[in-house]
Amino acid sequence: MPSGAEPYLFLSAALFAIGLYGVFTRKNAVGVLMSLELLLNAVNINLVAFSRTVDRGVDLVRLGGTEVGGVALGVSGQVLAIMVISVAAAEAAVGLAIVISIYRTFRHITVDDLDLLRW
Amino acid sequence: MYQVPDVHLLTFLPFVAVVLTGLVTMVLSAFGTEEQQARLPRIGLLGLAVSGIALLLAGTARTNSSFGGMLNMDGTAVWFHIVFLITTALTVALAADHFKDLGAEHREIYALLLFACMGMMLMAAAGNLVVLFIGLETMSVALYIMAAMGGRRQESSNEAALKYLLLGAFATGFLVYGMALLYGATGSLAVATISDTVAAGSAHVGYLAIGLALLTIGLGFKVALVPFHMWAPDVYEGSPTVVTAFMAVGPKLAGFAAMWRILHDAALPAQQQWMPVLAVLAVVTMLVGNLAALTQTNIKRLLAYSSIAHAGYIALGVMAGNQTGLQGVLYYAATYAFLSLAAFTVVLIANGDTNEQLHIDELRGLGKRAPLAAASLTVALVGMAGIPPLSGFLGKYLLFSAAVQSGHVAVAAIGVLCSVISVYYYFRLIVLMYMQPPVEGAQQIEITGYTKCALVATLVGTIILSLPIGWPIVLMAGWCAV
Repeated sequence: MPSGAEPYLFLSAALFAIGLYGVFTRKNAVGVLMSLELLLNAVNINLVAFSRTVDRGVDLVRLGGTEVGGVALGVSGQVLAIMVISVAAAEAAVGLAIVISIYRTFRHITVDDLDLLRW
Repeated sequence: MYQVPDVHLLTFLPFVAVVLTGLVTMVLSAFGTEEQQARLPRIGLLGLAVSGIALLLAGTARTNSSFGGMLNMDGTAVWFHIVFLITTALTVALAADHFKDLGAEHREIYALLLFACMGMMLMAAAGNLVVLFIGLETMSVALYIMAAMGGRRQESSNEAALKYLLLGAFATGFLVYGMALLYGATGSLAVATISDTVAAGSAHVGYLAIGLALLTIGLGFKVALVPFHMWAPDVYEGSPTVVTAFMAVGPKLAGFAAMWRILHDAALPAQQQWMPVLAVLAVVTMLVGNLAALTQTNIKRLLAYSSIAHAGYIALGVMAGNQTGLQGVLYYAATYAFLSLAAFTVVLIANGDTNEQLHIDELRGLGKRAPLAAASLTVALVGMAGIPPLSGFLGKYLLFSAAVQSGHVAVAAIGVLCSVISVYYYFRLIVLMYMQPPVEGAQQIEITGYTKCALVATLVGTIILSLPIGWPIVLMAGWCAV
């Protein structure tokens, strides 16, 4: 059953694939972090698209709300998207802090050259 | 228009206690006087105890759902919460001794541990995927920072933290993608609604299958199932041992709680889709974990592979998805928490404060140098190997019989075989401790203070779970599983 979200799904999948490619090929730790952000943001597009198309607000109805005939009411996807954005920010903050700490100890941030521990 | 959802404060109190204590310790670790900072571990332990009491009240109240189904404080959640609180309390105690001589910035570990504990509790009690996600990330972000708290061994600790962060965030990407597709398949993020929609057969089949696969990958990373385990040995080895002790227990069990919430609570009607996948993952995890542990010479790496193997056993219970499975998962979670913490506590003791990498040869003669530590490690290793009188045996028995009940006899047989393999590397350590002379110049080790308390607590916990008086606890696990 086509729901109208398909174009956005393709866009999101493409972005996710680009992010994956970046994670695997980038040597610079900051580059990898950027690719990871791309992964999460790709998913956000997905969440918002689904929120618009498939969420009929069943959960709101459960909480005592009423469904307005056929109009998509639910916003839980958008709520999760907001959470993902804030978590991504927190993760980036911690990630960059660790990268700075790595730079202070090793004087470089090339992921491949960090091999004190057997990978 | 909409009613305000029901809020049962009682079910929410355990979280509030932990978070408030976390905030207090965080403020004190930044602005407190020396005297106040010396009291941080005690404040942390007090907060955890208060949370435990609140939890008992919440458990007896049995008003399961709160915030319109966002929190689901059923027996499973309460059981996991108890395990998480004990784990965190023991880690706080270990940190009190082993982080006290390090720089002031290391005092933040108490706040971080408490926040991570709250995240794990949210994961176990999640009635909505949003809550599960927030819990998971609260836990993970706190852990990334803790992994970097290397003290005198900053280099490998930094490297471990970066690896953990990159792979953790990578796994999060898969996890949220899976959540998004599950949302697309069912139109809801609430576990109960997802379950209803899947049962009614009105969920989009393709999205559901891909979503569940992505969720399994994401959580597989968090609990270190093979082939998503490659980060675990490195991160466990590089992180400070106190943090490793926490990492090997808390987040792993929280990951399984989340897996149970998603695969069982939300997607049980689709069990035929995820069961074979999880069976394969469990078998590969048990085999790779145990076989790789055979050749390890660094004790932290050895315990890392052993913890991967244990993740395989627990995955069997999740895979079975039945009553025995849940009972096994719950009982094994408590068992594994005590055994693993006991092992890492002894590693800390044998390490001294040097924070060196511990080669297994350094355990030689530990039976003479520190009899209590050696005895605890022996109990822990025998328990992990699953030798009958100890709790590990009963846990494995429950998990394997759950697998048999779900029709996976071969999988259970491989599990038993893997347990037999594990006896070799566990007993190798015991032989080293008792039958080899100590290294030249090795001194007696005195165990004091918090470390001793933690060690005794893990021993007592293991013994209580193992004795026949522990069997009511098995029944309790069964009751919690209802």
